[in-house]
Amino acid sequence: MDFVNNLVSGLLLGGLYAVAALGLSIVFGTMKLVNLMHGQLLILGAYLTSMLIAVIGGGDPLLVGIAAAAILAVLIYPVQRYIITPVMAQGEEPPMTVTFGISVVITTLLIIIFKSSPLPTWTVDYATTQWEIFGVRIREIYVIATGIALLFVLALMWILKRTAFGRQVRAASIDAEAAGLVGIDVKKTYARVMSLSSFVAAIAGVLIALSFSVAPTTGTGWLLRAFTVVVIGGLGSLPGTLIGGFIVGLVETAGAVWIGPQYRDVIVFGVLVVILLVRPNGLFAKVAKA
Amino acid sequence: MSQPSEPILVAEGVTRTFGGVTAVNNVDLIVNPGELVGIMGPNGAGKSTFFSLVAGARKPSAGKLRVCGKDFTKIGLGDAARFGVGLAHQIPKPFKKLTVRQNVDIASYVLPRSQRKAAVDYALEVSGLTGRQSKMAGDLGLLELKRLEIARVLALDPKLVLLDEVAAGLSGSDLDELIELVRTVHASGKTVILVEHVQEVIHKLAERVVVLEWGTKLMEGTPAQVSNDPRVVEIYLGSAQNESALKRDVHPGGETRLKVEGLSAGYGPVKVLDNVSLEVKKGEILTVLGANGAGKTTLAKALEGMVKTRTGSVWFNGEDITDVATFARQRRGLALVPEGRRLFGELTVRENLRLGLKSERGFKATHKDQSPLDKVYSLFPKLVELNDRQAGQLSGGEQQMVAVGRALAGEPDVIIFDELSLGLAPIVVDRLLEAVVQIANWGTSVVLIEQNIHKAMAVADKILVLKRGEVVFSGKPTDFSEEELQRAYLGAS
Repeated sequence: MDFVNNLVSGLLLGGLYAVAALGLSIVFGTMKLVNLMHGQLLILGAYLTSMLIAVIGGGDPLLVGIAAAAILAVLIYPVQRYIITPVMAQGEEPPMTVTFGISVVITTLLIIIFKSSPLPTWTVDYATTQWEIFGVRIREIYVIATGIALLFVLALMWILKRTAFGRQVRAASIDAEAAGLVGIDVKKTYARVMSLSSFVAAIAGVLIALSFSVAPTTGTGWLLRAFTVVVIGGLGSLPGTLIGGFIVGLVETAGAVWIGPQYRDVIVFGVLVVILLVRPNGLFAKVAKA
Repeated sequence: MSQPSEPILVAEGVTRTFGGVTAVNNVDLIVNPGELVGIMGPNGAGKSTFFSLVAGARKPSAGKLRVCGKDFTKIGLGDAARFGVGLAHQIPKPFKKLTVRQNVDIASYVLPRSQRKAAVDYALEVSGLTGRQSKMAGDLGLLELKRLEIARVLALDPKLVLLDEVAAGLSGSDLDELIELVRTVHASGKTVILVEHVQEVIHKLAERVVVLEWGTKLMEGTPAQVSNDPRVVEIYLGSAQNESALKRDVHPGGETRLKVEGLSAGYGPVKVLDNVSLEVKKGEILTVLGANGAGKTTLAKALEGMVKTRTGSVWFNGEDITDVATFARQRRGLALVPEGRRLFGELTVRENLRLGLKSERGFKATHKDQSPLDKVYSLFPKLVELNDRQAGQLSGGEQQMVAVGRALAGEPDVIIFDELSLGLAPIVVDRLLEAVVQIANWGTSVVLIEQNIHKAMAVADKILVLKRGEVVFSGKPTDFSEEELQRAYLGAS
């Protein structure tokens, strides 16, 4: 029973990791941008939600989180449009450096405003409830996170495949100059993608804050987790990110149980290195074209 | 060393399929050492696929293939170069930040260390680059790039040299120089197989020509036999151009659509266009001519806002659009079909076409107004059946139709075609030029940039001739003499 227990909780923890990584995945997949401020966007989503709850004087974190996510999306739009995109013309490294700079700014602002103490936990039932089904103990919040991960993957795939916006995003990611030739405003498209990514990140941030302790400096750790998930799943593949999340969740839980919780990170990043050695493009990357 | 009696290439029943498509079907071919063989055929005939098999980049699905004495159905990727096969690509992609010599050096690494320097010296000398060996590859002109590509192949010390459309994009004296270079390579003892659209190259060089159609070998023979064979004439050249298809039923004129005054543009320190002015009225076809490097593509890019204008102005439908971004020019009705098509290869044909529609601008397309696409399908009925295919899998001619359709989807007032016929078979070029005339007959103005001088002049209302970035002639095609044309292209005074 212990085995099934660990398997299920590992998978569901993976669902949370997948949501946390989705925003990073979509930005890389469409803009070829390694967004080093992604971890801070996650944490910022949690803090914005916390601030909104304080202003409103209550409210369910996940519902308020939707409003916070919308606010974050609006705030990030001009950051991409007027700070990151102009630098993208100079190659792949400069915009990556810029996102790192912005991540430092966000962390510093959070420390100034909230000091470095952790975000007070929200008292909601589903954050602490454990279900027991056929003897298997499950944290309700992980089930919610996994559900939201599935929902987001389907929604994002639908947007990319079926909407005009999705076609524009795909066209811009294949050939940005040719996209201009068919009337696509590539700079605006990139800003919209970053907004979308921030929206998903903010919701993920709320889920993280409901499951773990969050402080202004925890963003970088989550960036590394998200990065591992995206690389293992195959850069830029949405279903791959979901599966990558499950793999990281499983490996981490298994490692913690059988080898020892203190080796968790060593095991996760060890697996990352091995996978990169065997399949440099990740497990589910599209086969490179000749 | 291979015995002189053994053929360098033996293909027996070579077949290659991609999914359900048979690109090369049961092809037999024997090439003996020292031969110079040409392969021709219309687009989609399987030339490139056959070449990739001989170059060891792909493996045959069926049949026997021995090249340079090795069984090519069994070799690994990248082995072909060591076995003595060198492939020169249609579009050279050297390392731009390395010198010419460094680029050639890299290729020589398949040879034993002691032979490398001599091989590189030899390759540079034969390809005429010895004097330019320390130049950056990124600074080379088109002909020099082609020379470098051939030098890179020679540095492998190959027994068999494969040339894939090496003449593409060249004309006039550049073309003659390239033909001379291929002749030199052959005379130095190499066996050469070339795939070529430019008839002249095949005729001047090949001793034996193989014609492919739909993946099978239609015939082989001397250039004279091939060009006189009625089957070849029909499939490859098409019937003589239907005069009525090129008839203009609308007299162009009236309002000015596009006007350029004193335009200068360039890249970095290089000034490519100098003081260019032009005017295109409603429904008019302006053909832009000029040798390679004259600035034609830069003009197209400057008109569409892809290259910054240094001085001068661009006016569209009476408005100054000099500082308007590319996407906004498309939305106003100024479309460009770029050189090399630039389709979104992973998207379907339908998705490519729809992207240009005005109704696609919001988050969710309305799909209410598909009428521009109806026009596209009436122009190229074949696209209807290709709608669900990925654009990147189509043949060159089909891709060009999609590229034209994608531009038309935006309901342009002016459409610029940059190198519409580059790399396409004559019959496809004829079809595309008929489409250009049809588009002009709808009242859309056309700026046509073409290598195919005579055909492009035949459909033109006006021509503009560029030479080293400056306008050397502007007016009616009938006022432009053959001597002036030669002067513009060949540089003779």
